[in-house]
Amino acid sequence: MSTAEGTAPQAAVEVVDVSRWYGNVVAVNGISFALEPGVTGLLGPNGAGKTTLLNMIAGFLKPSVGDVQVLGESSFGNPDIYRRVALVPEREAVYDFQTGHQFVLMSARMHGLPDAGDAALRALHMVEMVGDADRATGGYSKGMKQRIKIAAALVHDPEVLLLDEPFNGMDPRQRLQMMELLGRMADQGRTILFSSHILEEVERLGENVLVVVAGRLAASGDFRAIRKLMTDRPHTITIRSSDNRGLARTLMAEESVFGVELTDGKIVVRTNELGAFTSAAPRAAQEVGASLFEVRPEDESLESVFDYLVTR
Amino acid sequence: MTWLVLTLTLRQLLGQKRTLFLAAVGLLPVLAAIIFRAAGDGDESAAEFAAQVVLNALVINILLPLTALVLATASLGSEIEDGTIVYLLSKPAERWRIVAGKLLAAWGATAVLVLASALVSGVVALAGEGESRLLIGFLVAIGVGSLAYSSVFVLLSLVTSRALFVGLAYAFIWEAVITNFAPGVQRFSIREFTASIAEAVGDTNPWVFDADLGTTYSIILLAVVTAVGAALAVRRLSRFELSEAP
Repeated sequence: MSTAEGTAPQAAVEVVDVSRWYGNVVAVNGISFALEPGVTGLLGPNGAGKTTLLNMIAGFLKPSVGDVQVLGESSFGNPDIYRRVALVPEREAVYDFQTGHQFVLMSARMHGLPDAGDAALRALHMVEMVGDADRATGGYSKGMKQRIKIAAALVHDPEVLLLDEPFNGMDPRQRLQMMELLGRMADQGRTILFSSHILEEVERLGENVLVVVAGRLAASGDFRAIRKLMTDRPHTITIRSSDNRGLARTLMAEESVFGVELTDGKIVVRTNELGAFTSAAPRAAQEVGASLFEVRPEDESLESVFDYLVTR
Repeated sequence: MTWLVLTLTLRQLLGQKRTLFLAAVGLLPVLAAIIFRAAGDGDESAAEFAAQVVLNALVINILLPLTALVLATASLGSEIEDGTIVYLLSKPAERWRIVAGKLLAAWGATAVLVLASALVSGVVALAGEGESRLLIGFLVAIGVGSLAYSSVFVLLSLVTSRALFVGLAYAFIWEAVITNFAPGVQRFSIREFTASIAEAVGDTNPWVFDADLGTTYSIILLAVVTAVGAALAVRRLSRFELSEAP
């Protein structure tokens, strides 16, 4: 082994075949991925195992099987990694009696930073909480608590930043600011992983996405590719019109349609290409002279989208 | 880190309703002493009453374990419950420093509360009797005993989320009831260790106050209980997992 130190490419976060169960409930099931510097979104419905995964990376949960390496070190039972890694937990609780400034300053001191006061101020500036820093955190809004938690996690300038649902409780303007901040930090070469159950949040920020459903990694890679997978999945659409039978006959001839069912007072159509179908349907109605009363996509919940990704 | 955890925890304890509740319980021995003085001469001597009823039965047997339990679980257990423990654990500090901060805060707060109650009630009950040696014996014993209790209860709050319940069962079923029926069991009771320190330091007459256990044995056991409790707490915190059952 003559490899010189530092020349081997090393992923900032490496998760290899990791599973975690609680009793006989499997929370994370055989997940593997590696993260490079940049922003990655961890997307999945509530209860998918996102928090379990983040806690394992952050060293607060031991994988039942598998291995988690952060910056080349095992994270569980290894407090030294917190010099270079930070986690912003989902839970809202902070020390209510402290002011925002006290909370962030305490974090800086606990990190043993030589210039704790400066570090705290810098972190407060980053999240734009300087103005409210002298108020007790007990009186903060959800969004303010999120930001003060992020400031406390940023004091030591971590290389790897893990955030569990960081946009919860933020208003749209704060979200945008936070996304910009995370983007800037990623541009500085940091590795940022944030979880979310909201598609749009991930779309804005994460070029890279990990989709987790029911403890499994359902998809990973470039967000646009995954987005396309999600739109191109089979859709079911219910239509009510003045001439259901005539319309059904015409729709059956459409390229984008692969199933038509005529049931009491409505047509149930299945399509592979939602875009093509949405322009085809009005055209078909016009052809047979039918008026459309209702065109309603069925089951557009995020959960069903995730389900599709898993069973695909 | 230890100092930061210590001050943070004292601030946490200070602002809580349960601390006020404990302060109110701490007034009970004082009240008993006042009633004794007001009632005038009974069959008991002031020294007997102060030692057996006020300082042993009320302070060491009830106030001390209750205060230590409530404050120890409040200092660590409540952080685990709220999830704020993550702000301590996500720091590059050895875990013993966190345990030390929590234990010192729990012990300090317990000692201050219980010692204040013992001192005031003792002085009232013994006023003019010249029995200061007896009182000093109890104060020293409380200082030492509260450390052993705090160590055990801090560990307990790391092991179970029902630390308050388990701790109450230990203090008021095991130590208070079972030791009476099975005398051999007294050899494993922090309250008996504490009482024997009080007897030794206070140099009390056997008819005034007589503890059941030997002094050397009690000192060794108190040291062992404190050290083992703290060591296990450090070990437990080093392998601590954020509970988040799905």
